Amino acid sequence: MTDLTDNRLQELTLEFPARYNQFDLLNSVLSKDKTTNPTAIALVGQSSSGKSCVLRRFLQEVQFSHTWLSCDECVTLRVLLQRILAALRAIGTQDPNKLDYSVLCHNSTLFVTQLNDTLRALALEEAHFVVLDRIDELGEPYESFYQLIINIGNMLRYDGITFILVSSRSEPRSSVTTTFPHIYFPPYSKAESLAILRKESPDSIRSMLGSTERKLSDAQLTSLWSSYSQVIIDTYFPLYGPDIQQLKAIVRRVFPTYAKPVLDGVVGILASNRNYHGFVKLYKINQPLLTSEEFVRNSFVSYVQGTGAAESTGHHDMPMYAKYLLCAAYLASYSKPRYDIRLFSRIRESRRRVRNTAKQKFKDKINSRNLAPSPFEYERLLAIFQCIVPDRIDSVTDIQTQVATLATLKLITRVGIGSDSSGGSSIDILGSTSKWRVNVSWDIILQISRDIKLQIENYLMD
Amino acid sequence: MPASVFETPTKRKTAPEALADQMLSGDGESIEHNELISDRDVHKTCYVIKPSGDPRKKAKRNHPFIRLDQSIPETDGHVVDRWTLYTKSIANIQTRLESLLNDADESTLHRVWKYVTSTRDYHHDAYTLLPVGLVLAGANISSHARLFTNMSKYIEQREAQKVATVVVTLRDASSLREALRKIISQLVGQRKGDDEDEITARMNTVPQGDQTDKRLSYDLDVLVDWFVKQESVEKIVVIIQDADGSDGNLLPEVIRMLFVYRNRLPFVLLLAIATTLPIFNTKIPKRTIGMVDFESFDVLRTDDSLTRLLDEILLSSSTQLLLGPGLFRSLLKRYNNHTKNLETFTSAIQYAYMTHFFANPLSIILTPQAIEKSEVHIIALRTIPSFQSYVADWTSKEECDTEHIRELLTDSTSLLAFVGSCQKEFYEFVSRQSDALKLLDVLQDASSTYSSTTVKRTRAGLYADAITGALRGSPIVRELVMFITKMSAATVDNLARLIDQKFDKNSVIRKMRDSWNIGSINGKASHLKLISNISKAMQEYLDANLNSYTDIVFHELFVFDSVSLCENTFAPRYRATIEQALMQPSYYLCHPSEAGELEKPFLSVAHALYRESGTLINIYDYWTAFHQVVIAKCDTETMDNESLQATNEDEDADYSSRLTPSPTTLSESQTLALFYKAISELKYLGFLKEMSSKRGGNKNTVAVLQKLVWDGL
Repeated sequence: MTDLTDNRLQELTLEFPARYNQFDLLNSVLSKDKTTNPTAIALVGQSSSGKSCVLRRFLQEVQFSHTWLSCDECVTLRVLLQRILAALRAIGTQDPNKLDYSVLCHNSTLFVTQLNDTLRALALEEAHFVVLDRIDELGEPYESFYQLIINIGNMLRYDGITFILVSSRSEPRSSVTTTFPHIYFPPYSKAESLAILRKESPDSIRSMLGSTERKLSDAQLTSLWSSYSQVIIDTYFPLYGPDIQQLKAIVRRVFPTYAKPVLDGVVGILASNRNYHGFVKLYKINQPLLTSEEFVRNSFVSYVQGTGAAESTGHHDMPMYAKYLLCAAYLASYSKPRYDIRLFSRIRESRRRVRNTAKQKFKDKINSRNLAPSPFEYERLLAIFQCIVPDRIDSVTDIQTQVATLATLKLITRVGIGSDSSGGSSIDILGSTSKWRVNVSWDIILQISRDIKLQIENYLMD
Repeated sequence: MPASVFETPTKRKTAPEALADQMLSGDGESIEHNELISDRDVHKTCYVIKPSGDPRKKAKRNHPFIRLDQSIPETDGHVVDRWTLYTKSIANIQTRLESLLNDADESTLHRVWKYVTSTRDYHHDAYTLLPVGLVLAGANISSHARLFTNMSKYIEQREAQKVATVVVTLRDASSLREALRKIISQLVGQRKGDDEDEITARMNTVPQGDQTDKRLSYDLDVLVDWFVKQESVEKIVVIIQDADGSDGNLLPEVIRMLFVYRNRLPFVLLLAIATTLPIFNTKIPKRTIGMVDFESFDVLRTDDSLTRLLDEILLSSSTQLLLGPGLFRSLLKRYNNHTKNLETFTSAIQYAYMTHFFANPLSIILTPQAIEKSEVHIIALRTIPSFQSYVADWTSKEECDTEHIRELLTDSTSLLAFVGSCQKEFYEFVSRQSDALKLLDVLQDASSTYSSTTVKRTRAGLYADAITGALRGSPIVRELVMFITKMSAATVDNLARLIDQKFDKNSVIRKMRDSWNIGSINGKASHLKLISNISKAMQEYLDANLNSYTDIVFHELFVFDSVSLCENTFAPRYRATIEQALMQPSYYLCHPSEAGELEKPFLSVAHALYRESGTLINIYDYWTAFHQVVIAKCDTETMDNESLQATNEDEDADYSSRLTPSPTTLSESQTLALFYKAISELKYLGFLKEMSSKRGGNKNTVAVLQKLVWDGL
């Protein structure tokens, strides 16, 4: 007793390439009849493998009564539980969109009780589906809730409700042994990704170029788009793999620039597939576009450099001694105190010969730069600072102020008890025994040390 | 009279009394004590001294200045004059500082506002990213609050009701929940008069009672409902004041939440970054960066503001007091090395003004008529070194006009007239310095297009050299004049254009430039002639104008140059001070003692031994050494004390003997008590830590003290 015919499923597959099986499974597992539905079903698969949109389309197609909840909007479980109950209580009222938030649910036990109450009051005749989309992105650990939901059938005294869990992570370990229906969404292959990208309608392509664009005919646009999709897939698929969302975002970002020569009339595009000449010309013009990282946009810095504004965002705003202090903090964290005399003192090195045992060598093999920074004492920081600054300075309060500023900016962090900056601890933060740790990576320290013309490598053992 | 350790002072002068006497002897005012401070009060750490009722003193002054009777017997009128002069000049400065600071922010605010309005055109679909403005506000976090409150006001003012802004700090929010709660409660509570009061009222409490809406205070759906009801609001601007000071994962989580809701709530996020973009970049996961569409805004470089500060306050036409070269250098050094904060710079200027008018009785000379009738001021004027050397120079000339000098030395009106002319000369000096510095700036700009290798020296950097006359004939001036002699025709045009931009029509330099007749140049010969003329004129101009302020007679009255005062006030050397106090206690306990050198307190003795030892100090060794020193002291002390008693048996044996009880009668247990006291005081000061050590093959632990403070930091 499935709701959709096979023909209809085939049509849906045209809309969602490579998802016939999933539609078919949904169609066979879920039905309007409340007695045959499982209480929970999970849709799993990598992120952006079409879980949510396939499910949405399916529910729309079969017109099941359902509630859609995005778990990533919920900061805590309490919010989610409240929303589930509120949505259920709104069923059957005059205005189902006006949610009834008069309940507050503090924990899962209470939730089961209140859910039972709600279901009793509702007395569902047909099945109702509660979609918990992105359950793995709930603001709190979701594992115990996940387990509760898949076992909830045992605790409910009224039937008619089915939870659909959509998750892009693999199942929590505690629930692995529980049997309940899963629908797996395999990642898209390269060809499938291309097919999805190509499915863009001429109108939406046109809107990407700006609503006023009227130069190109629909056929021309489609031809341009199809060759363009191929280029993008070839360029970015190795980087992003089957992450179709990312690919789509990039496609959108790059397209206006890519299509500009066509719009400007530099390159002519024909509305046929035999348009190699125009395509090659366009590709040649746009080659730098496809090799730059500007459109990947996963870093604040490279993007800024791409716009040529990197120069103005140097370290000009940090006071000079703050930079020295930061370098000193790095040195204190990454060089061992036993080398201090060798590195920072002007006493002759011969005074102390280093025991060069094989054991030690083995231990030191890992580059300390790859390890976590080790804590250092405040006095040591000051001592190293005095060694690396070019001119001798007294311990004025300004130095302490700057250490405090660096700590506020989390460039150095306090180690140990009472590290909260809100106070309350009786330990003197700038006392000589307080321990600190640097919180900046080597690249940045290197950059800063270049700024102040400090040869920081001279002070490091490796 | 031998004093024991636990002796209580009876009829002797108590510590607070002695202290009060010292304090009050300074400015010649005497205040009687209400009563003798009781014995119990001796152990207090601070004292309140209540002046007794002298009726003359009860007349209330409405200004904090006092009479400087020690140097010049002033009248109260003079004090008031100084006070009014100070308030006037400082008010003048403050308004300009205010506008300067605001202008510095203005351009950033404008750009941010434009960005916020530009995001209105966002077409919302699944690919829309969260618009984020990264405001690089500089490491000086103390000014951030002001900047971002201004920003929120600026945006709201210009957008009337269309934009709702909220400023949050993440530092005091420990979790995502709290951060969201802050954002929601501020926004919902912001616009009163709507029917949202009940929600805000219970924002911070757990919902109770029979109200129908029991949503949690951090549920962004609450904000969605609120937003739907607001008809005018088109944008919600969330300003996070400490984007890089937040703990761990909080900021990425906040960004994620705003991103999730971006289609229902039109958020614009502004992040204040105190570090730099590369550092900030390492703190944010790439995934989060993928959610945002960002633009960065650099708050105007403060170096430019410093130049403006120099133009508008230090060397403006209304400058009454010039900052001396030493003071300016130290302020600039502190600015570059430590603070990068324009506000501290300006407050230092204010402090300099205050000190000048507060402590220099002759500062009222700025209005010469104020001292017309005051003979004391006239006499004081004649003692000023620059005036004396002027007179000496004048009289050493062969054909000197002794009449002029005689008049200055005898006639007060002619002296005052002379002061007036010196003052005029000073004002001229200021304006000429300002022009000369500007000219150097322009020349550097013109030459930078010529050769880009040299680093431009800012006016602020040149200021101190300029007013001491050190720039005359200095390498930079020589180089620039050299550059002029090599100028091409295009560079001449460029220079002329720059001069036209920067200088007034009436200024000397502008007139000089008008005489160039660039239009009539044809041929190489006339060009060469022109540039040689220009270079000669420039050289002459710079030589004439870059003179030292010390050439002006009475410059002490117009230039304030006290380096140590400002350095000690703004950046005290705490470590050196404590160490000096321990090593040379007599410096601070300067109590007159008949016996010559003051006896050291036992704390100092312990500290001296501390400095002589290694990193770990065996307690027994320490104690033995301490005991030896005390016993040795005891022997000499006995003799001293006996002689003291013989000569003088009254109060003078006093305070110091109570502080360091005379060790003549000290038993070993008393010395031990003193030792413990000294050690615990050192511990309290952070010098020592107790620990136990198993060194030297001993199985038993040995009680030692660990040194915590490093020497010479």
